[in-house]
Amino acid sequence: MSDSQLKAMIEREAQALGLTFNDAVSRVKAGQIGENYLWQDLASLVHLLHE
Amino acid sequence: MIGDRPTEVFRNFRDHISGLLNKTITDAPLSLTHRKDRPFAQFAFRDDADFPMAAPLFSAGLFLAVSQQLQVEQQPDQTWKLRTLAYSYHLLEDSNPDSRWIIRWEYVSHAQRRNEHPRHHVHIATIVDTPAGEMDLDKLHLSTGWVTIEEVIRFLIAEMGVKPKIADWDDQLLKSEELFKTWTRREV
Repeated sequence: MSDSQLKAMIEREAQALGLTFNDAVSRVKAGQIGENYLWQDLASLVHLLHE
Repeated sequence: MIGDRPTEVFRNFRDHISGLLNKTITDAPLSLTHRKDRPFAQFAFRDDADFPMAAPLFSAGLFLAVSQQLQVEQQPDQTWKLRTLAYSYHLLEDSNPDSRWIIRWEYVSHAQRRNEHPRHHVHIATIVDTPAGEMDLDKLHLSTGWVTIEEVIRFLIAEMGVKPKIADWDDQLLKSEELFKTWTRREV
């Protein structure tokens, strides 16, 4: 998967949580994530993008 | 683990875990997300639109969301060592993300988060009255050891009434646990 495809996945999941891509990345980096599995998935994709 | 490139190694591991899940607790396949040419990947159950989902379990009316974040490191002998950077296993009453959860087993490595609650922990959707006041097991991070996917499967079959497709499910789980020790070079 390319970086742009991964970013698109993150953006879709962020939108489902009512967030922008940048807001979602900031929340994940600050450890301020929700408890449901969509948040868990989003967090792991953000880490994947920044590893 | 054996493979020419990280992609092959991650696929092999995903196929192994997905096969184990499909023989024991659910028909849903695991989907691998891997950045090209990087030693990091993630897998989860995803729907046809590539959106994360909780998979229906065989016959128990329960749902499980699975996520593992992985890293591989090539070793001097050209094999690959597998490392789990994070996992989450959420047991729910329905498939959508906002449905009521029952148990959440979670882990985040020190490489990603520090100075917080126990890295390996579980949340349980209940509050317990104690002489010291209420213990909100929903919010507290109760320490656990390393919780493998095999142990979650074992719990679901042996104690939650999920009906496996195979009779020798515990033998299959034991074999998988031995493979995991080899691939990660750790005791769990």
